[in-house]
Amino acid sequence: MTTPALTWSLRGRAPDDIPVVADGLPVTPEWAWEGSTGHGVRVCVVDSGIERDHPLVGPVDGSYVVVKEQDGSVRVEPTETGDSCGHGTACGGIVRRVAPDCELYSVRVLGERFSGTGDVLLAGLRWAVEQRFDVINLSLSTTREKFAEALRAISDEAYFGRTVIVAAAHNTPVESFPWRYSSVISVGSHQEEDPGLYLYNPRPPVEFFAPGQNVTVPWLGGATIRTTGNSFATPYLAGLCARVLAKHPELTPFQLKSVLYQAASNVTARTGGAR
Amino acid sequence: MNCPSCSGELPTGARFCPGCGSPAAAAPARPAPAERRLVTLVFCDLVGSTALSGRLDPEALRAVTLRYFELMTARIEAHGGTVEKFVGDAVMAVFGIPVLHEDDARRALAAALDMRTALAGLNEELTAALGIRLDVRIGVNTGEAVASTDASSRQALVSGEVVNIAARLEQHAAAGEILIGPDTLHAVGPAARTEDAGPLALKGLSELFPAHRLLGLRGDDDPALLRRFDTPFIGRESQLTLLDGAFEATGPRLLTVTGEAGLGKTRLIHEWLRRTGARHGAGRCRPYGESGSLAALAEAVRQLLGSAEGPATALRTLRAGLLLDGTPNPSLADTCAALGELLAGFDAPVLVLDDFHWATEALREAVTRLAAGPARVLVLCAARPELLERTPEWAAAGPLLPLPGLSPAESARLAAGLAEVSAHLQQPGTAARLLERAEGNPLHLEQLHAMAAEGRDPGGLPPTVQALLGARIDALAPPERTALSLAAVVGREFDRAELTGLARSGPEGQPGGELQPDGAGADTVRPTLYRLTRRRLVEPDRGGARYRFSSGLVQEVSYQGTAKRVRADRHERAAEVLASRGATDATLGGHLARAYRYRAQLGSLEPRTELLRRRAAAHLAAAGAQALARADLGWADDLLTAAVELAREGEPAWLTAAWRLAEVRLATGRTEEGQALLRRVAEAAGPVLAAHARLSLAVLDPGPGLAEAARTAEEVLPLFEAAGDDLGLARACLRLAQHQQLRGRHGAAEVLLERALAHAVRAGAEPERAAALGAVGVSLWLGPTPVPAAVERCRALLAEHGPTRRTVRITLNCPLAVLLALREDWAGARRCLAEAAALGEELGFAEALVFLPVFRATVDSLAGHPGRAAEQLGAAMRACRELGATTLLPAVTRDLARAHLDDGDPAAARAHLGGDGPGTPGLPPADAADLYGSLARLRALEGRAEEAEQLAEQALAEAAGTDSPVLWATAALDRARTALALGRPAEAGRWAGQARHWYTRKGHLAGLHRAADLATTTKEQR
Repeated sequence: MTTPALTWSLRGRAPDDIPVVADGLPVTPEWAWEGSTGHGVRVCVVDSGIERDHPLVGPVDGSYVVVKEQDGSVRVEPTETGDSCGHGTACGGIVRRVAPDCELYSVRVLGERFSGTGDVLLAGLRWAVEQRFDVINLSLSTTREKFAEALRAISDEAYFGRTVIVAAAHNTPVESFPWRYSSVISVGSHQEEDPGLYLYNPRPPVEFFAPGQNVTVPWLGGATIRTTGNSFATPYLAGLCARVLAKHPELTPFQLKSVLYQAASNVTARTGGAR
Repeated sequence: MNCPSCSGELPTGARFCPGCGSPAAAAPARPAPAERRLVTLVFCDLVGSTALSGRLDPEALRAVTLRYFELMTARIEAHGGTVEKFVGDAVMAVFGIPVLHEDDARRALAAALDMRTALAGLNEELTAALGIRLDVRIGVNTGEAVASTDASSRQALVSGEVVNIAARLEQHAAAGEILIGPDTLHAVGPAARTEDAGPLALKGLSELFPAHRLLGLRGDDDPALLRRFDTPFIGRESQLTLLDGAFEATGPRLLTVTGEAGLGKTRLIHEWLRRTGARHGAGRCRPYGESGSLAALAEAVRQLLGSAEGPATALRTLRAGLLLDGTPNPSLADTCAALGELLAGFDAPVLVLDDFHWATEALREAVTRLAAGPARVLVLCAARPELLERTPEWAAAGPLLPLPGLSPAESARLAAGLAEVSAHLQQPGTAARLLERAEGNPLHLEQLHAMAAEGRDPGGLPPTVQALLGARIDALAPPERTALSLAAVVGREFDRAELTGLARSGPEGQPGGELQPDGAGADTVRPTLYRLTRRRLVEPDRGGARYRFSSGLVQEVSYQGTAKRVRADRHERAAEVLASRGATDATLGGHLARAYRYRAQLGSLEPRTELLRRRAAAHLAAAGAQALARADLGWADDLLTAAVELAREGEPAWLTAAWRLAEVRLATGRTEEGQALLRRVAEAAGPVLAAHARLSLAVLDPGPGLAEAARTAEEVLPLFEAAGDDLGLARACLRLAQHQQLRGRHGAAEVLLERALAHAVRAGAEPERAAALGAVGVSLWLGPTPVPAAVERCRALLAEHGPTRRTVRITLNCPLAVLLALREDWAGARRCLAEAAALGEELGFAEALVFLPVFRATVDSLAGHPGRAAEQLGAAMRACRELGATTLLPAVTRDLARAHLDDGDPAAARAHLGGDGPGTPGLPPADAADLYGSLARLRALEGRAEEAEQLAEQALAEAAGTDSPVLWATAALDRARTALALGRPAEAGRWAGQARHWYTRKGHLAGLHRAADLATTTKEQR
């Protein structure tokens, strides 16, 4: 009944420690996203909302909030309010930095203290998938098993409906969802200083590592702060997805993940052909 | 207890001595001290009783009212509450007095619901007999109240805002409605079914009050409701394996999981049952006897049985006793035999008995018999440690599985899973504080987390935790409870003698007190501590007579449980006791400050309160001075800030504390705050202290060439000499020495520095010692002492003063780095700088941000990396501006210009040399030599030959006014470079030779090589 030690960050390891040799034709960053600014790609940040008019985030094309009624039912409605705690603004800002010309949307599912409830998360995520956004950034998760199946179903629906969910791994080695599913792109942090470095993890469940340590991010009140967490590695990859999709709009989620894999800094292509 | 008259031993509870007939009275002459406790109030009032009085005959009305009071009282008492009084038609009841229960809030709600139900029954009768019905409205609120636990006294049992709010809630309730406060809801948790009753404007409260309408209570007091079983299960792998082992065992199968409340006993068993899928039934023991002594077993058997059938005779027996009302009818032996028969029909069943510390003797015996009987049943008991305190023989009944707290890593994982959905950013501060306070107890962690998550004061005590620990403490015998609350005043750690002293200094240890010496005059504190240790409330620390609270929360709850007036008195006494035991000023000041603050909060205007304030401020000021002398800036800041807040401006304690606080502010980069405080001190203080403040202010604005600072130092020196003020003398000498250094008189500086050092050592003033030593280092570098001797002296000073002083290691390692660089030991130089940098960071030295890059730049320049030096100096300039340390700016700027020149970038150098030229007023010779040398080189590169030549001459002349071979050589080398740039290689060669001569005299290898290189270049150009 012993569980294996859980680790989902690149703590104590460097990029050189995880070289990966991939079969297939080389996919270069130049081919994948160079020259693309994410123009026209619709990215939705499911989080705590995004502050209006933050200089580092720019225009938000649509803001929504999940409202919980007295009787426990939930619905999604447009909102004029901003961010409840700063976290969503930080994520939106990173997406904007990576993919400056993408369309940015926000659905608020978190409250003031960086936390929320499972039913609200399910409603917000389900709504975002139904809107057929191209990319959904999810820098959060739930540890409750009771939401696991519903989240898996939504993730599968997104996958087949051509919506890419980019989900953050938990910072602490505990089980949580939906980043554990293969239908989403999961992201943890590496500790390198290079702000443009991302890596493929040869030892999943976390599939990619991106910069998440001491990252400068936009925060409430037009300010910026330096902060740490897988939360901030995730929108880097979500932004990258937007750039790739703007340049290659016909990619399916599984092709997109494959492109990210092959273009990762630690992956070298081997074109030996059939053996 | 002994007879006060004949000293004969008295039987327990005797009111008269059986020997001489004297009254045994003397006993508790003093009233029980007021306590603060977490209580739950219930107010219940009749609705429309005036209308009723108009419709009923007075006699009938009286009979009806009495029935109502009787009924309500019965329901309250059935749940363990106490009716405090009747006000008109209202009943006021309190839960938590005289006995505190961990589930008082829940009991109060159960009672309220029962009262409503009972009234419905009464109404049926009344409607039939009199054609009337009664309606009540109820308010329930939980909170801390000042309480007298003596139910027989005529005083009110409780008072405080919590009582008023409960009454107001009742007044706001509609007929038949029960309104409850938020803390009641928090304490009961999800077991209470409620709906929002909106924020209410209650009379007497400035803020809206969030009330809830009670609809009902869920199920039983199932721990799964209060303690969240939907959170991830963390750790406990070895315990699960042990449970597996017990399940597989062949012998008697009884296992008791033990651990404090909240450690997760029930959750562990729950999780194990889930994983194994074993057929099981669970029951819980209750603290108060509402049902048969085997009720918990009956509950478990019923659950196991479900709708299954069993052997008819066995079932018949059980249904006549155990399964009927939880009694061992017809006998315990018959019940166990029938149960064995029944259980044999199941495949390895498991019976779980929770809260087994409340098990009756009959239940314990039944369990032992079952486990040893023929049926293959595993009995799992979960109990708090008091089970073994009360019945130590239980340890022999079967194996024990003690449950420890979670490890810090496990706690962190548990904390991560507490929020249902959470963002993945790291919030190190908040999370770490919660983990530290919870000390591995999952329930405490959950409750503390919930409090933080709901935006309540995260430093407060969650009502559930307070109730659990409060009930545990309340259940102690009076001596133990008193000892615990006295110890809580002393601190998380305490000494037995301190506790004894504190008890004896007040009513607790005197005749009639809980901790009075026993009949033979022997100490009662020691055996009391022994019992507290056995109960694991405290634990011996480092052997001997030192103890510590096993849990910080126990200390907090015990401390919060005493009235503020009592706390004030005990802190004051603790200060006396600890003072006689040589406690530090910081400890004494802390106790006195708390004694004062509690008295002030209670509005005490007595002269004694004022005296406490002054004494507290004086001790804290002294403690702050000691911390500052020990160079512990953070601690000094805390202590001095507290002292300044306590003292009134102009009081001696204020003056000394404010002066030192100003120094702390300056040393930690809060220059403006420090300066403002110094000005206030300079105005209000006597001559010596004012002299200190003036000198400190002069240092902040030292004038050109430190002349102002030196002048002030000269003025105040005699004052300090007359007063024998070593600190003042050290500082004044230091300022004079720095002035000499700036003039390039390193010999004179060294003499002054020796004086400064001696006074600093005598004053125990660490920063001055460090500064004097650092300055000696600089004079060793620039002055006439040859490098090898200088390095040796520097190392000797480090060995003498450095080992235990981080500040000294910073200030000496910097010049030592340069000295090592002079003899081209680059690795050694970098090691010294790295050590200084690391120490600067440890100490939070703001100044280090300025001077460290300057020294790094010096080493880089010597090593021939002028570009790197320029970067460092840029950083130093920024730090200067941020810290407002503008006095250092000109020197840093000159160094930067020189670095640019060495780097072959005259344009950048020009930008930094600015408008300064010959004749800049008051520029000291050393600085002038440096500036003119650089300017000469720049002008030569610009082709302004005459100006260049003049400047180079002036640089040499200024250098000659100093005793520094380094300055002489530098000026000579500048002269050589100027000549070379002007196309006069022969002249350049001569000056390079002169520089070599002076560098050789100093033992300056790096300079020597540079001069030699220049000489070679000049030869090539000739």
